[in-house]
Amino acid sequence: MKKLAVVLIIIAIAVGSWLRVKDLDKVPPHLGNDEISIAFDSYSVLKTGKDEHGKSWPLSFMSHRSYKAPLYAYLNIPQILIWGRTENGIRMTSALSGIVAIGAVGALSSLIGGPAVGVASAWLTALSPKLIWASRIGYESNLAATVGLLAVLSLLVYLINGKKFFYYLSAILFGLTVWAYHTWWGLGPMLAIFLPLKLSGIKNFKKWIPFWLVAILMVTPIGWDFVEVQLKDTHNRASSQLWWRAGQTTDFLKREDVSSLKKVTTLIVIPVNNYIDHFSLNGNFSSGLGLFDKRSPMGQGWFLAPTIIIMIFGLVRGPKIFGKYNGALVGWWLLCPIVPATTSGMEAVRNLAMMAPGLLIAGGGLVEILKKYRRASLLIVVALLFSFWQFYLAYYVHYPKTVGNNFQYGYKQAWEKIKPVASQYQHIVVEPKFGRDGQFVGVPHLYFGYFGAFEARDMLSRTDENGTKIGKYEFRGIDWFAEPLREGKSIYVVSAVNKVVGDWYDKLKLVDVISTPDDQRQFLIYESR
Amino acid sequence: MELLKVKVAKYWWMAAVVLWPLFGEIKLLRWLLAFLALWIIYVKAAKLRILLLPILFWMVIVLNQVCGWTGRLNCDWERMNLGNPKYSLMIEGYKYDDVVTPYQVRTRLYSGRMEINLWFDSALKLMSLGNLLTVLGWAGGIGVAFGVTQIKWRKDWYYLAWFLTVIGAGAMLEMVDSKKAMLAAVPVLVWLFYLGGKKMASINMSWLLVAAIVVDLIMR
Repeated sequence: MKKLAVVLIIIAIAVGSWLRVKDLDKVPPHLGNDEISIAFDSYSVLKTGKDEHGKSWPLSFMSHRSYKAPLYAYLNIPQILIWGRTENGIRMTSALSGIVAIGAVGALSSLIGGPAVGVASAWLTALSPKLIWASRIGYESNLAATVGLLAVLSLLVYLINGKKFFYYLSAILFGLTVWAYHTWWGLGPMLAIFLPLKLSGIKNFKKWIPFWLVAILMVTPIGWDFVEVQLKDTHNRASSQLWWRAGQTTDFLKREDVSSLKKVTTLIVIPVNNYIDHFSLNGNFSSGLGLFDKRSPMGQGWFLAPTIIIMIFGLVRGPKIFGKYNGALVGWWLLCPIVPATTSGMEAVRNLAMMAPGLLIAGGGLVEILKKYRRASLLIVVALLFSFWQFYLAYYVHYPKTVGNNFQYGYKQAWEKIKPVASQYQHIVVEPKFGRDGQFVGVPHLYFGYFGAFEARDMLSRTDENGTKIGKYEFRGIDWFAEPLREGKSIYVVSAVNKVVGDWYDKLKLVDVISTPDDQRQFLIYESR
Repeated sequence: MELLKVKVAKYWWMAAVVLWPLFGEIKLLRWLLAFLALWIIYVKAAKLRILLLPILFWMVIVLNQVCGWTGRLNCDWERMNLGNPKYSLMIEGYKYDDVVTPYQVRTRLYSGRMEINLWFDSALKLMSLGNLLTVLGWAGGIGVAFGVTQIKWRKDWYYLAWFLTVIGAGAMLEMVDSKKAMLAAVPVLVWLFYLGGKKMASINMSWLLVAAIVVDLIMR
């Protein structure tokens, strides 16, 4: 049975790997805002030892004042060496961590529920819509979720076989989660305290003191950096995401027609509401993934829809399936959304950590149904496969066509059009606005830099007055009425709504149009006549 | 606290008071009375239960102004999940865009059947705890949530059948109006609240209910 289980888990890993790397450069169709920022920083550190803003070997990457956790950017450097400055160069780290997660879930669930649960959970992980989606984008949260999962796995291995190596490995990995993603600043310590005490008993807490000390030691350097950042940049984007600083909340708190008591109560209730939303049935099982901007018949949940049945079964029968581990497993699942709940909005990436315990519970439920109701379980497996097929079509076929704007689609394509003739121009001006009505503001300097318009060292000599100027490249808003006429040949990449006006008609000619995959005009490219 | 325990455990009216947000829809009182009448028949006449559920389904649909009967069946398809022309068009678009799936399979896959996904989504939304809190307030939501853990499914299946019928009918509507959709579920919600309240009293958690009522009053 054990050998068969290992083989089936390996097949799950193989299938999951294929799903995570297939057309990685095309789905999603363009690098997103956070991805390109990490990509450029990773490339810049590789070439210069400094990030985009010129900070040497940073412990937090300033990015768009979000001060990103550093682990992804550093771990990604080998991928840039292998794949170059491409989509794979930034996404492969996330894809690999997603693949590792399948094996880790398989191993963990085998340990606490037996080989059959291991196989079921590994397959559910391999086919999980949310984990596939997250593993195909360069998200730090995906890497962090895997590091956290490995920390829990090491802890469990230690508790089972007593080898000190796994004790310290788990402590180091828990510490490392903090280096991987902001959510783990809170979740890492919570799990590092809760799981050991729950699994070995509170009275044994002394045994865990070295464990916590090692974890604290791991966190100290980045903790120091965090304090420095908070003191230096009090309105950084990361802390502006906290619920009491969110726009809607601050507006509400400013209202004079609302009593102080109601304001205080609202402040308390918001995170509780947010927390509950992480368990919403529709979010988890039918539409939470947000693949499409509008409500769609092809919408997908975080889990495959039929998982709802097996997860409920797994929760109800948990004590029987997981025995003494059930309390720790459910506790792990319930702790995961606490930190995301303290931030505004419902960002699917922030609660990625709760996928693993959820899939373990579902895997246990599936095996339990299989034991008790063979026919019903067959139906559920068929329903799961059908549901996966729908997800496959929704994600790989339809999603790339509709999601262009969410990923600032067009900057790479604009650069590829310009690239062969770039040397002929003295000025290359790119507008950060994009979208059907030019309503979004992007980061074209990072796209142009990452895809090869200039080198990392050029970025360090940039000037930031009236937009960003890097050599002959200018990234700034364009008002045709105020645009100065300059010597030399120019090329302009502007948002599709910002057509040339007035005298500029005679001076520029339209040479290309960049459209999104769903045929919406995104950018117009003009050059000097 | 002891007095509260007794009240929560023994008096149904307490549950009704806590479920006040639903009764706020006073203009729907006649509907509420109709549902209660149907509920009484449903509970008393065990043999008629299967026949009464379609009537309940129809009543919820009419209450939500999704369909009506004026000598013939009239449905406002644009307000529905199933048969909505907007979604039919969307599905046609998907079918056209999908060049991966073989034609024969595609024709079957991209059909009206896909609209069931939207209905399922609305149904799950209606059943989510977050929605219960919106509809019933914190006290009602917490009481009902505790009640769910106390159900003896084999014995109480007909409560569940009533509830799921209401959810199924409510989910026919595209933009779910939570309060209206849940009005027909009031008898089951009151019962669940009763079960939940009793459980909370037995484990000395009535304070949570009191706190929730206070929050509801402040947040009003």
